[in-house]
Amino acid sequence: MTNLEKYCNIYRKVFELDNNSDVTTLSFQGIPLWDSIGHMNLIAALEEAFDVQFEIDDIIDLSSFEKGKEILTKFGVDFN
Amino acid sequence: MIYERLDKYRNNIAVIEKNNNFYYNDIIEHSIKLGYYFGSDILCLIVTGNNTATIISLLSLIENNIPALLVNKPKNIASLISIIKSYKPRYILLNSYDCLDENIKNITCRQLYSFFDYTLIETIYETDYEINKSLSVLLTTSGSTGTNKYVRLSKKNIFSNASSIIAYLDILEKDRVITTLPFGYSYGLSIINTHLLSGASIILSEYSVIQKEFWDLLHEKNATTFGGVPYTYEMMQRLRFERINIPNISYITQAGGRLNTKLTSYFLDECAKKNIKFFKMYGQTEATARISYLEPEYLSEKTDSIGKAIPNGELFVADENNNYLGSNETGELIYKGDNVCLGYAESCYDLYKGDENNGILHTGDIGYYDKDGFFYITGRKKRFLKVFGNRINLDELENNLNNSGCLCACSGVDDKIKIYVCSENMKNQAALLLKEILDIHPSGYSIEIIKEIPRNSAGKIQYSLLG
Repeated sequence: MTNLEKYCNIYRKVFELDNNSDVTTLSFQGIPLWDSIGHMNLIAALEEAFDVQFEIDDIIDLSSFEKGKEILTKFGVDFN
Repeated sequence: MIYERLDKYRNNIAVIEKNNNFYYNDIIEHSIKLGYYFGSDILCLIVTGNNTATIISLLSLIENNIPALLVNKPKNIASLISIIKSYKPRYILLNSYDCLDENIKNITCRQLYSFFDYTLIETIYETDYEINKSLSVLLTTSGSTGTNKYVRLSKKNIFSNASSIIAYLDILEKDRVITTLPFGYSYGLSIINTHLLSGASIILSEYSVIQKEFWDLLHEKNATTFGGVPYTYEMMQRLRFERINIPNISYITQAGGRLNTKLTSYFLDECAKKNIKFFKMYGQTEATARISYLEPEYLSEKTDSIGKAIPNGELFVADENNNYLGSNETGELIYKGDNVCLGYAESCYDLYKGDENNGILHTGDIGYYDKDGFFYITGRKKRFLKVFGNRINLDELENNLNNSGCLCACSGVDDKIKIYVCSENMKNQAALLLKEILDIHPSGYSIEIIKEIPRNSAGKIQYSLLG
């Protein structure tokens, strides 16, 4: 599984979406389950899956699927 | 009477909303204008938001002696209909945009007045029920389990609890609180009331502490304090509170459920380093909001304590026969004070009722006090959980699911609800129903399939055998 697939699947799992559903347009408060509680679940799942520890600015900046990719790239996760 | 109390602060900033400052003078003027539209002996529902219009609505209703039924704005406005049908409010104050919702249109007789982003509508409902003169505010018991149970509060309840809180937190005119909780929630409402009655300023925010905007606003508007439920504190710890620079914050408060020992210790240490006073507090909507608090100076020594009763209140421990117990003896916590609610309501036909508690509240919490008079909670008499700050009555939830045809048993620990069913079919049904009736994030509950729900010979569910 590529990092991108792994990354997408975390969104599907945390936000209870169907396999293969499009997650690339997701953003904070864009769907009911991505509220502040869903956000902390997402952060915990990403930290665990990619073995990283986010800083406060990362956690509060991670407001969309795309933004999350940027932040993880900064931590050395390769999405290509 | 409330205008008179606030008028002495007329030149203070009452509310900061986005880039607008509203002085106490402005707020009072707007409340007076709104008041022209109210009749008497009616009920008004406010769909609350953390906005200036909600504050104006509240003040106007209190001043005009009109009971206010507070409902936090739900994700879907249609879910208000069941509350509206069972309470039949003559008036509703809500966001003007929500007036366009078909469900709201169907019960609207006419729109009376618009101010800020809110509109006052007159509904199609006749007030065919009696309203007790002492009723002032109706608040939900905070957890949505799909019931319409509300706590009935009097003006005396509200003012007495606010005075006690102002006294022990020492809230001053120069304080600036940033909001973190909805106003229709007892803790959120108490923050608003206490700051208004102190002539302090309220910085309105609907952001969560995990949003950049919250911290930007806190810095930009020089907030000096805020409150939070245990989940707020959990999130702040995840954000590494120790690295957040908040030099203007002088104290923070916590209520809305038990903060575990580890988190309490963490905030005790970090707040000490930042020179922030940390108030751990305990209460119930049935006591308007606050029952007890722990003086920050005792936090290190009495970390798990809920502290002592608030000024003008008294806490006791009693056995099943209502005999008061001594120190270190375990029983039910009993609270006495002017902030004890009048009682409950489940529909408008309960609004005629007067004071059923006479200032005495059986909290349902089990605990004791130590030799120094500090109280501790060790368990609960009734089966309920606190999930993300929401009180969930497990029996109520279970009844509700069973009545909808989903046979199950509801249990759980601390902040996680567990629903036990006996088939895949029931599991799917439960999942659908829960989304509808339980207004909390789905990660707060899980559904498990078991062979059979354990019952004793009398047919009662044996919860101790579950999970």
